[in-house]
Amino acid sequence: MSRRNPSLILGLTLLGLLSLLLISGFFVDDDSAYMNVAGQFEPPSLKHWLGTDKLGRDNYARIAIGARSSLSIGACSVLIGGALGSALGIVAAWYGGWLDLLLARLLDALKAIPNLLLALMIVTIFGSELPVMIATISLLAIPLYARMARAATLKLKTEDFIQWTRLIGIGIPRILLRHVLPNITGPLLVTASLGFAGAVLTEASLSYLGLGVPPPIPSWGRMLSEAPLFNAPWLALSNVVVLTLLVLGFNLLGDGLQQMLDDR
Amino acid sequence: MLSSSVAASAIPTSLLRVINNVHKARLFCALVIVIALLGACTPQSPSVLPSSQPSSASSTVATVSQPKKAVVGIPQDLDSLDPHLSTATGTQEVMFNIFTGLVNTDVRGAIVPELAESWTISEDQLTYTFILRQGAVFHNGDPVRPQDVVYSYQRLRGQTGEHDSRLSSALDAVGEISFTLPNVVSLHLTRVDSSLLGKLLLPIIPEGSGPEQKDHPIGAGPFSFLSYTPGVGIRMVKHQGYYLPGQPYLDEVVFRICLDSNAAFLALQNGEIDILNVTKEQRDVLLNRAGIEVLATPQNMPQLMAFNLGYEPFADIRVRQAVNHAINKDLIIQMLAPGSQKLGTNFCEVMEFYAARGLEDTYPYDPQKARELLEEAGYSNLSFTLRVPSEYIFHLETAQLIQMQLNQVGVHMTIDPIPFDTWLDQVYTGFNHQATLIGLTGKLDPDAILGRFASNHRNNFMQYHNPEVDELLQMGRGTAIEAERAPYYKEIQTILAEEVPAVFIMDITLYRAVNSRLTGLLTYPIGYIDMKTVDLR
Repeated sequence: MSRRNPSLILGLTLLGLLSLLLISGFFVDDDSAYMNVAGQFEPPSLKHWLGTDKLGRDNYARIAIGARSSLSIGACSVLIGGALGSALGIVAAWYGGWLDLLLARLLDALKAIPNLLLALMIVTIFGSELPVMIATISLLAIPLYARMARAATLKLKTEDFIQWTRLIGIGIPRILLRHVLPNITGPLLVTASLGFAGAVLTEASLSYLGLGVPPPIPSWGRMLSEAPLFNAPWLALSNVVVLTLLVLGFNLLGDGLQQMLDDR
Repeated sequence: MLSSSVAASAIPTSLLRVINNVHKARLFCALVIVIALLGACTPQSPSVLPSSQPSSASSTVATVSQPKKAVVGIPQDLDSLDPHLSTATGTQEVMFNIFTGLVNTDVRGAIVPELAESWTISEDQLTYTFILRQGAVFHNGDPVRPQDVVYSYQRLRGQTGEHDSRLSSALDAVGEISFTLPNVVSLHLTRVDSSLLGKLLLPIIPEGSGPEQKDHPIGAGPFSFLSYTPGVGIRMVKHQGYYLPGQPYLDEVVFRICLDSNAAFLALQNGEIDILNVTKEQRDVLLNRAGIEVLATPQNMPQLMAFNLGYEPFADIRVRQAVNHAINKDLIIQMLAPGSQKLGTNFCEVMEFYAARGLEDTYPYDPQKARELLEEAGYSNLSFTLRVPSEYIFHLETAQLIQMQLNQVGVHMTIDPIPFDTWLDQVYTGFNHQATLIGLTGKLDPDAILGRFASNHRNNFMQYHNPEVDELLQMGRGTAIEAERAPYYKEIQTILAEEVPAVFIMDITLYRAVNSRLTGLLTYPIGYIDMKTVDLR
């Protein structure tokens, strides 16, 4: 890292702040997030930093608790979608031929349907419980990683050291795991940081349409859709700011990683 | 070999550059989406709806005054311009301005003459004879004749050969329809149908005009159709031949589709929209603002949390009573829709003549009693799922308040938001639910409101069966005389209040904002934005 890397630093700082928000969610009073009928639409105060919502619930507590579902959906989509997608991409690129063709067409088909539409369909059929949401959003993330892994593997396949591993008779699973995968983690990490932000936004969009994580579990998207803009602007505003910072943080992180790779 | 390695090393940078560009585009998109979520409230550009130019305005008269125009914001698109094919209440409340029936409703839900000047009902209640209004004309200039009535009703019954099946079940009791020129129509019923008159708001269209209605609707209502753009709105102009002298007062009315409630609210505040239904929060904002009035009116729309009696715990009346005792309706009303009437049965007081009073506290808020009843019934750890249409934030909020209240008596309720289409399929017709929360659209006739509790009603999604109610409904249908019918329906309301197949919450108050430059807007116990009485102040 000879050059300075402001994107990475800024991204990590933003994400660090959001982690604090996430952690604080475990210390807020659960009751304040779920029930306080007395104080409808209280503006921000010392007691309620970000005011209260229509049902008198503390907005800060709800945002902090909502971070759990948002971030766990993002993380799971990166882990599950990333693992499946990368595996598919690597295998397809390695073997090539009809397998590659089949996979490419499948991914094209998946890509042809708008993500949100597909997610809506799945959620409508299987319900909107958290596991379904995670599975859906992970599924949607697969093409992203598969394409990246495939492209990177194709390039790597022609490198001398990989050719060597084949010549000296190392088993294919071992080559893929020990020699190919470590050499393509760079682009995959960049993709993952983008994918994370994308997954959070997908969940927020679904919730905004009323189909995300079911109430009363706080969800950023639903909170946004329920927030009245005119009497209690702090509700929508605080929500949007957090969501924007999160997406921005991950994108900057991606940028920073990218630059790190370039520098190496 | 050398060249190939050069090529190989050239790939990564270009590849990464591509990634980088994609990456930046995504960042941009992400931000745009977030901003769009917040800022999806730019009012529609005025260019979408070209400025008004009523067909009657003559350009040669220089001194002609500005045409009187009003814009109404509606929250959804129209499902069909053909009045016989449209089923949505949201379409009906607009199209009542273009189409009229033999009769109409007044502000209290009473049936009043419209295209029929008067009518008589035979002694055996099987023949209804209508005298058509002299001078009533369709928008195309043709007079309204008995043949048009016959044609419209036959079309609705699927007898014109245009459709394979009937379009409406409203006329099922009607057998032969005969007419005598110039202006008498008789409906001969095969059985007594006391709710028939209320159904005759059904639109009358010119004979033979059926196939054209979906593109260019023609009726005899106070306004005639000018143009319609899907997703944008519908424009209508004054029907010069409307039979009421002077009415309508406005020259042009535009119903503009505003899918985004916040955008519509902004448009209301800056005067682009004159009439708009608003939420409670928006009403609160308007209370302190001059220039816009808010009418709060009962909608005749009972909101209820309906049990599915096919789900075992809810077959036990004690469980249903317990849930009723556990829910604080006053609090829900106070928080979500102040001014709404609390209900104890599936009937709203706005239907004055038929409403039984004093039922709302049959099972008052009493958490202790609720716990005891649950214990007694053996369901102290009751848990169930409530399916709610996800589009309706109001119902979702109600559900969350109920969830909190039930939690306090140890009942665990899960909320399952589903799209309204799925709701219609799964809950309304499929009965695939444990409980649901919904508002039932206002109807004019007590039979139409209470009939869904009949054992054999196809949308009896509570799966409520009570032979006594069935019999009372039959008796109510057996006479067309209001004073005789009322006691039957009041009795049904009392039974429902005691047996609670649902938690009847409230008649949801409608907040309708009107720009103060307009005057004369009336509200009705059915979905109907009546523009004929509206004028500039």
